[in-house]
Amino acid sequence: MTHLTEFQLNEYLDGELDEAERQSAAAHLAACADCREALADLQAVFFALDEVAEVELTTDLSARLLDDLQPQAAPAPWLRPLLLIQAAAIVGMIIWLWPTLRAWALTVETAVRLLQTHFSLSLPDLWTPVYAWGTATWQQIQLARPAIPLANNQWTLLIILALALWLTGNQLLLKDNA
Amino acid sequence: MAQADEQEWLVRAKQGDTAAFAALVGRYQTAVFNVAYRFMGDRQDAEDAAQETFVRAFRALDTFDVKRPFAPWIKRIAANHCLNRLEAAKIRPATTESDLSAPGEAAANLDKWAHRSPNPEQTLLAQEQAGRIRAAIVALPPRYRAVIELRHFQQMAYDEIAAALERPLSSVKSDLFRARKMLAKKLKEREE
Repeated sequence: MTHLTEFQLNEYLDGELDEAERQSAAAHLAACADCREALADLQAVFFALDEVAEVELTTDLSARLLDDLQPQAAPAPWLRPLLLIQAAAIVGMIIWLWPTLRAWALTVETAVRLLQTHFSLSLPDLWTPVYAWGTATWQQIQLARPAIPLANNQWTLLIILALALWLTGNQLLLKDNA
Repeated sequence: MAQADEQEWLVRAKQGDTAAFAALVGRYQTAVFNVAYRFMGDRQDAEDAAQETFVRAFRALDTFDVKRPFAPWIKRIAANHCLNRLEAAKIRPATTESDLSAPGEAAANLDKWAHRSPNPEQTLLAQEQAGRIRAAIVALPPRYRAVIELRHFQQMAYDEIAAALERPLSSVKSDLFRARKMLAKKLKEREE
């Protein structure tokens, strides 16, 4: 006699067998004490789970929940116009400085030339004071000051642009004002 | 009448009305708490899980069709949340021998599993059994607790459980049958 499998016993109790399978299983159970015992063990689990009653909730979750669900406060009304002004100012400055930026649209030679002209610092110059200490002679290194040719107003605008970017990046201008 | 109220709350909650959602919470918080309690086995953990379930449900209301009943949906969210929570914590089944009460300790252990019995007329034997089965459920691996919860406490069919847990049907059946086998073994051990 082939006993019912664990799957068949479970599906039988769950009512998941089709009619033919159910009748076949029922017929086998009527004739097989071992399978009836296995079914009874499984049924005991079903009955025990049915006996698990609800427990009482002693706190009111809805009161706590309202704090978690509070919508974020809307940003201050002046923030959006300020953002638009900043964006317009940045675009304006780029347009104004465009000839200069184009001139700076550096080829490799221009970049190298710029570096050589304005930031000349060779290794011997670095080494000199170290060597000089060894020989008790103090030497000074003269570094060429960087000199990027810009008109004063363009410098002013560049500084304002940099300041705006810095303040924005540090969220001093865009911080949530709620 | 209650159904009409619930529909109205759901419509308003979907529009962001937190007071309407709070009304839904008031109606279903015990049921959701019990889902969580069956999973977690600890009252505080269950309250936290239930709380988080409602927060998630509120944020997912856009996906909910108000014509459908709310209870099965929220309980499914609770079950999935508890399962994820347990798996994230890499919960391993607790040793249940110490959780199961000897006949003389039944009253003391009952306090661990039920703050107050809902039915004063239940016999001590039935209460012992309920305590043992709760302990046995919490001793199961999280995946097994999930299938027991969805089949026996939420009356879901195999394919619905598979869809809810996003797992193959064969795996769900296998887990469910193994879970029952483990529970049967625990129940039989205590009887001997």
